[in-house]
Amino acid sequence: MNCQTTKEQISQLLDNELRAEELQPMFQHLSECEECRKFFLQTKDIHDSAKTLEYITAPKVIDQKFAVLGMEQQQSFLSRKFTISVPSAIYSIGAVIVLMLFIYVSGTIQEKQIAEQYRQTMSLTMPYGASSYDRN
Amino acid sequence: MEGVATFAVLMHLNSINAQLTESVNTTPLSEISDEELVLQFRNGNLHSGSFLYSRYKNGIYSFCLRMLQDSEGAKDATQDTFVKMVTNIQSLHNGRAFKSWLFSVARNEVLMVVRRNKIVPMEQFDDETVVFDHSTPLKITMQNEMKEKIHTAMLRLKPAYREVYMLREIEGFSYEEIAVATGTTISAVKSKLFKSRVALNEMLAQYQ
Ligand SMILES: [Zn+2]
Repeated sequence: MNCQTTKEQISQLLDNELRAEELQPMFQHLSECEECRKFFLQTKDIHDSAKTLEYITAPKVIDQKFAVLGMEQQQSFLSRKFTISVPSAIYSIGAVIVLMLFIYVSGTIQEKQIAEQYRQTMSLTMPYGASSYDRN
Repeated sequence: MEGVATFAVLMHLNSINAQLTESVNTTPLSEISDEELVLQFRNGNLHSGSFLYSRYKNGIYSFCLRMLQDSEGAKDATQDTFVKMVTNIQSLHNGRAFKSWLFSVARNEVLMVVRRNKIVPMEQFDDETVVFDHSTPLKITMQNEMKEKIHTAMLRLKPAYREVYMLREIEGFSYEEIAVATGTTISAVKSKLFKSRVALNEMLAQYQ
């Protein structure tokens, strides 16, 4: 293990990107090499401070620009929503037609049932019922 | 009967949608992940879009300003980054990659400003042979806080190194995210970070 490799690994260690199997040889070298220990401390020190660097606040003018952009986008989204709603409107109309067809079909079935019941009642009440009449 | 079934499914989907919107409304926006916000924004929820903007505007502006070191240019690059975010959001299919995607957009806008305004020569941005300019003195004193010293030294890194270093230390990007954002390989990121650190150690050695 040479110094160059160890220093590169120190950089990766600080980024949590060093593979587990590389840890042991790296620490072994660090325990033996003063120069790499110095590099480790200095690099870690700068890394710890750099992580605390703050953002620079964006000027307000950018907010205004974004607000205008938002309004334009709202309109384009609305028009897009309309195009999306066309197929669902077709679905809804189709569903209503099928529903009406269903009501109509079940209605005619009911009518047939009423007619059948009427026929049965008639054959019971009339001695020369519809059955004998049918035979002719 | 198929139509009725379709209609019922549609109604059911509508109610699920309503439930989802309700659950979203009870969660504070600050706790919603980028991925979820991107999904909502892609479906036309502009509120989510403006929240993504609020979440990242200072980060993007800081990145642009530290890259360009010119506030007018940084303002333009930031504005254009968010214009691209709004207009190109439909092309982003993996919401989890939003942050690295947004910074790659910002990086392109920075390059656009460099080309257009000619604040810094373009070659400076492409050059990867030098990590930092040894000739210009570092304008810091012992009285400066360590953080200020690092900031000044970081700005002396050449753009190709500075962008990688900032994405790592300030944004906390992984090597993979940096590679995506800067359009390079993980091994190149690894190497650039190492060289940046060696350069910063050298620049700051006398102040530590
Ligand atoms: Zn060593």
